[in-house]
Amino acid sequence: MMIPPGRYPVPERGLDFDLPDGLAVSRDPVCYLVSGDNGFGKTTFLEKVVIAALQKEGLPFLYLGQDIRTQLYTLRALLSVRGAAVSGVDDERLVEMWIARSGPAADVFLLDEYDKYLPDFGTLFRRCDAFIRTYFIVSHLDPAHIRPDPERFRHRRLHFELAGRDGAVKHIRIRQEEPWPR
Amino acid sequence: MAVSDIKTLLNAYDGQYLILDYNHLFVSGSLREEVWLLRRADEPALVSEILEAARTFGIQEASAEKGFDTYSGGQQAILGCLLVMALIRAGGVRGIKLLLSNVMDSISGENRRRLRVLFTEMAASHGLRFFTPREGGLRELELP
Repeated sequence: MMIPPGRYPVPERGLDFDLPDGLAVSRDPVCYLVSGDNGFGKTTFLEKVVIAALQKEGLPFLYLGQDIRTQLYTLRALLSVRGAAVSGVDDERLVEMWIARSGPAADVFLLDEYDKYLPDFGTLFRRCDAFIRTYFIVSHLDPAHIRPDPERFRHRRLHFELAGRDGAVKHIRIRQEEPWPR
Repeated sequence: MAVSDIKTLLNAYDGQYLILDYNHLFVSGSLREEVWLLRRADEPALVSEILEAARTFGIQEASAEKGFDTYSGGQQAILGCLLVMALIRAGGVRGIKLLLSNVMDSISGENRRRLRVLFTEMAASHGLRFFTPREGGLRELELP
């Protein structure tokens, strides 16, 4: 699947995205590290553009959002009604159980600032090694410690920058670049 | 570090620290309502002070009535910090220990630097101290 280059307006959030380079999804293994200032629409882009495209194509995905507490309550309830023993299980283990049960059908994993809750992604990447081919990882911290296997995954940084304002609308350019010097 | 659970934080630190948790930043829907509830009065001057500070963080769209759920996650974290500092100033309270849970890592590097400058000013003027949860306890923020 390809999210083609172009303009992606989200007027209800006052954002207008300019994506000069398309995004390959669920092809060769790739990890997109998403960065940019607060209020530049990183989460909105994931939810309104990337997830919308995945749903349109029928591509299964996993998503851990910024507001993790609400999601954890939901995961606990979901796993419980599916018969999993979740009583007394800590949050980290709960996420692992969810991945083990729901993950293998998924190609894409979106993690929005998950590193502020669990900085060590090593276990999570290992659990997903057999099935995830595309990661979108939003982080304000040093991304070097949250990359999946660099031998297998190509890494690209998606940097959100303000290109201008038009009244209440922010024009955001999404620059694609190498995350680390070669 | 495991996901910070507000109940765990409250059990361990309530009464000693003022806790600002990313997943529970506000009790109402907008800045005007929040100030009204926490100050028990409509205080437009205090709200204006917070809004002015918010604009220095690039939150041009901030307003007294704008719903908190229409700001980005990082913008909410910044507004939470600005709000609590404004309330401490307005109340003339000194010596508060503020525990920031998953707040600073929701904020971009540039805005973190701006916030640290304000924290330093508050430390000097009101004896405010800042802490974050770390494995096995808390760590005090080092300020410039």
